[in-house]
Amino acid sequence: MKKILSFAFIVFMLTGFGKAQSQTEFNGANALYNQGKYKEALQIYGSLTEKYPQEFKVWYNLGNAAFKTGNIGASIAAYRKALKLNPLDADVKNNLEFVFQKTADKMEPPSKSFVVLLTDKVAGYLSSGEWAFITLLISVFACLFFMMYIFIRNYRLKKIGLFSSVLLWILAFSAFTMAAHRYYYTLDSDVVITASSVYITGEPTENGTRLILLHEGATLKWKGGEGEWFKVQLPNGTLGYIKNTDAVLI
Amino acid sequence: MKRVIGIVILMFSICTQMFAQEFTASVSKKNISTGERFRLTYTIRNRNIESLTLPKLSDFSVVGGPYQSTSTQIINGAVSSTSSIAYDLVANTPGNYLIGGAVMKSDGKSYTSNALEITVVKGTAQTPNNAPRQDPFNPFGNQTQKQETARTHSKDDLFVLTILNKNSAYPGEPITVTYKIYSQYPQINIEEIKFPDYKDAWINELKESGDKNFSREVYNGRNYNVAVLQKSLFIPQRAGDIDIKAVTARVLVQYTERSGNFWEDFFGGGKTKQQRIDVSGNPVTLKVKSFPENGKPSGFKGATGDFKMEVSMDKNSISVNDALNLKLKISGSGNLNLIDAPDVEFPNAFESYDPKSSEKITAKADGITGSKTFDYLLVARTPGEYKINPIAFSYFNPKTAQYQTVYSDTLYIEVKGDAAGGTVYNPEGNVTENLAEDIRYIKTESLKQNVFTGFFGSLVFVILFPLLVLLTVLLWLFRTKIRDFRNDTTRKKVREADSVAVKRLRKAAELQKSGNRTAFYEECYRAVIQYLQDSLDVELASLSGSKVGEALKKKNIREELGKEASEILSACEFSRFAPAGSGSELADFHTRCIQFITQMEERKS
Repeated sequence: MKKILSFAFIVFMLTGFGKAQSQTEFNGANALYNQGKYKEALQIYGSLTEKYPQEFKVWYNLGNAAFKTGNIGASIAAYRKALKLNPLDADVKNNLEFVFQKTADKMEPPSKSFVVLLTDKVAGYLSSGEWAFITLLISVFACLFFMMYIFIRNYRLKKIGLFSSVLLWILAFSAFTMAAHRYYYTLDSDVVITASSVYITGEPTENGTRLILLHEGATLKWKGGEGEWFKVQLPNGTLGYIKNTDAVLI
Repeated sequence: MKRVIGIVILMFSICTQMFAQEFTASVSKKNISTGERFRLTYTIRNRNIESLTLPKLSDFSVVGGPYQSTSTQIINGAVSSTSSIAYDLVANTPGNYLIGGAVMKSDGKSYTSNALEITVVKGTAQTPNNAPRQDPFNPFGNQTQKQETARTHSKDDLFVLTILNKNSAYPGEPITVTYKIYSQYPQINIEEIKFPDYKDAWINELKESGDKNFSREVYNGRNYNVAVLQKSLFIPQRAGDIDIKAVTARVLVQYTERSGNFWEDFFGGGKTKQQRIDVSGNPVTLKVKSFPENGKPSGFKGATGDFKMEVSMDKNSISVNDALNLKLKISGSGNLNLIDAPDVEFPNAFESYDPKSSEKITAKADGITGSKTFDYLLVARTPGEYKINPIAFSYFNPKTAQYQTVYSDTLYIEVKGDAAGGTVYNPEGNVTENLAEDIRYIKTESLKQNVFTGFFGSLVFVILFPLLVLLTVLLWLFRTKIRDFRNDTTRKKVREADSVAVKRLRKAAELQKSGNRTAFYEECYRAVIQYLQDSLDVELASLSGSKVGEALKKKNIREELGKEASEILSACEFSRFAPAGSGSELADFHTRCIQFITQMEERKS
């Protein structure tokens, strides 16, 4: 028993220490950014995204540093990732729009329906994990109320049980929708071009037919991979391939 | 006598010879048609005409004259002179006429001219003089005689001509249109001119036109006072026949009416008369040829003439968001004022605006010359090196009747700087200095590890949530079975209630025999209360005997039965610890319990 406790303590200390260290790194990178050493800051932010892949602030700062070093493509990729993690942050939106204006290809993302937009907005308040937790909590109560409806003989209590249960199940499924929406939205689904200009080819080979010339910052839908190639979809629906050294998946 | 006769004959012959040689009458034609103008001329040699009495000319109208001329010749020292007086006449009716001799007085002597024979045939209004032109005017139709005493106005005396320098042209090729007024009257006053409206053409009045200075001009062998009413440049805009309508003018003419007396006529005697005459020119049709389809360049927009093109830029290298001016100058002669800007394709990196055009043109009788300039404003948006492909300008040269295309050089523009910042050019007129735009600052708040990160995909959530959903669904699906099952257990209990009670009471009877009083009452109590609970499905164990009656009442048990139940139960509780009574006490109580249960069972059936 003592052994287990001490082991748990060590694990806690390690994780806590790791956390503190990451925070120090983050602060250090911010200081470098302030001094105008964007390249150095960019590297630290890059390594931090591996430790905190779900922390939008790291991605946002990475985008800023990338833009300052002239990497428009990488900057747009980082901002898009940050926006996936926190769809409501005004700074991310502003900077993405600003950098987007500097891109050569003015490919607007397809317009979304009102329902999807509303879901985006509501779901954006919490992460997928938080939504999932809420879903589980509500569904436990919904289940209990339903049991009350089934097993209790008292008519009035039965009624309360049924109505509460139905209401709570509706809430639980709504929360589940939000959780799923956020979860799939955060998954890798886009390819952002980082090479200054690149041809999208019809086949995953160097000699494939050149379909279109795109420039850095252009965002395409990710449709899978083929070795060193990303399969992408252009806004007009055409499928093509781009080498994974010329683009990043977010 | 013979001598006398001989002298007389001689004198007569001299006299005749003198008449024949010195005073003669002649006409320009002996055979004429009605309405045709001809000239009657009297000529005398080496004499001055003092007075002339014309013969009777009632069959003719005098439409012109007297025209007097004198010529002097000196040949080998001998001076000879010839004087003549001429009149223009028009015959009114067909027939053969004899114009009698006129009598002239000179140096106190009278001379009589020879008589003339003239044949007049019925003719058209056309005069041989006008024959070469096809009915250019119709003066009689448009002139009005304002005064009763007005003399006949001849169309040859006052008319307007429309003169084109070319009868056919291509669209856009300039034509000179001149309106001239021709007058035989010594003085005319143009009161009003009405120029026609033009369609399908562009008109520019030339500077030298309309000065109305009269000059002498010979037209069809006659001298006229000629003034230019208007001279303009006429540029047809479409192919096909274009009617250039006639100009109309109201003219006040002054003339002297002859009295028939030569002296009065010659020295300006007679009455000076005024007359208003409306004259109109001849309408002319201009044939406008269509452009040949053969070899028509795609960029041809109707420019006609002979042009050159120059393209220049104010700078070759600019920064992002700066503006650049591209000047396209077309110079030469032709319809410069009507040409459109040629199509120019600029690289996508530039924002281009519609060109502003300005022209510097001079219109002269030989056409329009000058230049037209198109200013293109370009604003660079993306850095890089760009080229503008040669700009083509196509035009039609009417002299060679062929299309020609001129090209500019390829232009190169370098756009420097990065895409951020800089000034933004406002094409509406002002250059507004924008503060450089930048991205927003980084986030400096501390990092947070979200405890719920990944919970959506975690095993706990993936298992628990569907389980809860499944449980609810199953409960719903089997809700009737659950209810049935619960009802079944109740019914079984009710069914077996009496047998359980019988068993207990049988045990109680044994206890009675053994004399265990406390155990007996306990057993009876259990038997009754168990029976009531099972058969009625109520919870009674916690209730004291007196309360049981009320509980049974709710289950629709008769009052005396409820009362009996509570009495039995109370008795059990009571008698367990009470001292022993009579010997039959236990047996009686046992019977009472049996009777109660029997009554309860009877109630069911």
